[in-house]
Amino acid sequence: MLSEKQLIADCQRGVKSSQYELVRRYTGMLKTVCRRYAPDESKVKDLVQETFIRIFSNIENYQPTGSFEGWMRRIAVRCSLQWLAKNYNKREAQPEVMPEGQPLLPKALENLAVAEIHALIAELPYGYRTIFNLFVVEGYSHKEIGHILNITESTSRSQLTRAKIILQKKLKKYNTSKYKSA
Amino acid sequence: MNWDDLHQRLNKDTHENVSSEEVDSIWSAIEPEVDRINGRRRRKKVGWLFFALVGMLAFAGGLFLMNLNSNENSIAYQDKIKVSETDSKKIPSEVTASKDEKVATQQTLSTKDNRTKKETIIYNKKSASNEDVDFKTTTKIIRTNNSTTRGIASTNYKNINTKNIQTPAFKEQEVKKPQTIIVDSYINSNKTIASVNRSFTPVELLDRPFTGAVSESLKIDFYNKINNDASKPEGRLTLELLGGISKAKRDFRTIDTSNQYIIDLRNEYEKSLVTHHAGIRLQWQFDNGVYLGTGAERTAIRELLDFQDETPLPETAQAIERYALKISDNNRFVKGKLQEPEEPIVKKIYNSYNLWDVPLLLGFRQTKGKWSIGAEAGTFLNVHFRSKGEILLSDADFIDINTTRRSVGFGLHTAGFAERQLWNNLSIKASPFIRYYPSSLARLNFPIEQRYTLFGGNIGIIYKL
Repeated sequence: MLSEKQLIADCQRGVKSSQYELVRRYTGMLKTVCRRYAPDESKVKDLVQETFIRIFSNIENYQPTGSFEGWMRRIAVRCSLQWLAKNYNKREAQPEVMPEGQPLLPKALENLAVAEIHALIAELPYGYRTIFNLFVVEGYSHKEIGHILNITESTSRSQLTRAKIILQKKLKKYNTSKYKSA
Repeated sequence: MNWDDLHQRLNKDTHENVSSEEVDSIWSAIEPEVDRINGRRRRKKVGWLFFALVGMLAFAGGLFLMNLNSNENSIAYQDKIKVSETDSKKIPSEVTASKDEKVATQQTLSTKDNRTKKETIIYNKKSASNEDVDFKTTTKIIRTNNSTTRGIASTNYKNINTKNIQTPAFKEQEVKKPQTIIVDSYINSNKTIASVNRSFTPVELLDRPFTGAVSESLKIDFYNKINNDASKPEGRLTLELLGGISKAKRDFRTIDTSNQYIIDLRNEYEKSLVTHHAGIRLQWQFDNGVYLGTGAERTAIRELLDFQDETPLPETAQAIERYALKISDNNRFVKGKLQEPEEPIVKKIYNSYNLWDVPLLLGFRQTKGKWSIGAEAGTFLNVHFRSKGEILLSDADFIDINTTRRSVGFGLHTAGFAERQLWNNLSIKASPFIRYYPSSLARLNFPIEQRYTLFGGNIGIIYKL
């Protein structure tokens, strides 16, 4: 099995078997990233394909100073956001000062699987979901999010707060129904 | 659990399982695009390789061409040396000498390539008698396989292998007179560039003993012969094709000081443009670096008359405009002028002064390797002059300068130059120069004379005929 370093070197030289190996290894990871932004499974696949094409186009410029997975994730996020920017109208929310960092329901969250949490996040409106994913999952700052989405920092902050509130409610509701069904 | 914990948990396992069918589906969708990317990358690499190859070939070709001449000389010389060493065995020994006879054997070999390689060996006396020999302390004795042969060589010079060089014999009855045998020669284009000679001089005929000083003078003479012949194997006549540009500095002179106003106007409205030069020259080079040159050169001095002004139309006065100063009911006239309609005068004319000159030049050239520098000075005899255009005669009048004169006299010329030999007979040249024409280039009997000094440079190629 090729090491990651060897795999990158081969892809930089255009070795096709290694390019296929890269697709095989990282399709799952990129699908996870793209799924957070894509509305449906078919779009996820489109975004993953687009991400791979961009990876192969730019892999010559990749410098092994950081994580290769992180570099691919950033490409996938940008790819997804560009698609979002083209297909959804931007909605600028008025800045609202709302408390953030409120703890989730600890017990409820711990009882949920990652897939269930992702499913709940996916139910968020696309604007909230995007900012929530960028901030909470990808770890971007509000400044970076504002730059990526071309919105103000305060807009990003307020939409994140709303997303968190909605997600809390959904978690509570999901746990209640789950408890009742059990 | 807080949001940070959620971040950790959501990023803990981001790899979802995908089936091989799904991977194949994605791969088949992107494969054409991947092929296109790979092809583009390959073409890019091939392009860079091609350019690198072309660059390297150009570089190597340039080096080859620049060193062609020196390499030819060097290779030819080395071949000749080898031939000399082996062929020397074949020298017919028509004469036989007794070993105890005192003779002086002198052999000088010298040549020059781009690094000025010189070799000299002097043999002295086949006998062991050294009474007549005054060796300098800086020379060393060379012993060959023939123990009776001794030699001295300057420590600055490379010694050739003397093992294969046989000592020529000579007839006993001819010992009393000097004789010389040409062992080998370096011939280029049917002309002997260098030769290896062996001279036999009976000791009693020597006017003085061999010394280092004697050998030195022999080396220099031989070196100069090769230096002159090898670098100019085809002769000393050279043909130059030159072209260049210069800046013309114009100097107006007039006896009548009332014309100074016109001179100021002309300085304001007439601008000097770039002067063009083109010429062909023949040079005859002497041994001591001095050369004489002549030929033909065309000089085109160009100027631009760019005049814009307004002039009142004659006899069209419409009113008199007056300015008056009123002080305590006393009006005092200050200034007045006629109110006349004016017409604009716009003139944009390119003037040219074309000169055909025959240069008569004396110069000096110092050559070192492939480079030569030097200086020259002389006169440019003008054999044809033609001017064309218009100049200001007054503040609103112009005069045609079209004229064809047989000559405007001569110009004084001085220049420096640097030359670089490219091939055997071809060199390039760059030469900054100053030229002054003391005669006026204005129309004959024109009250304002105009003389020119040209500051410029020529570049050209030199072909040794």
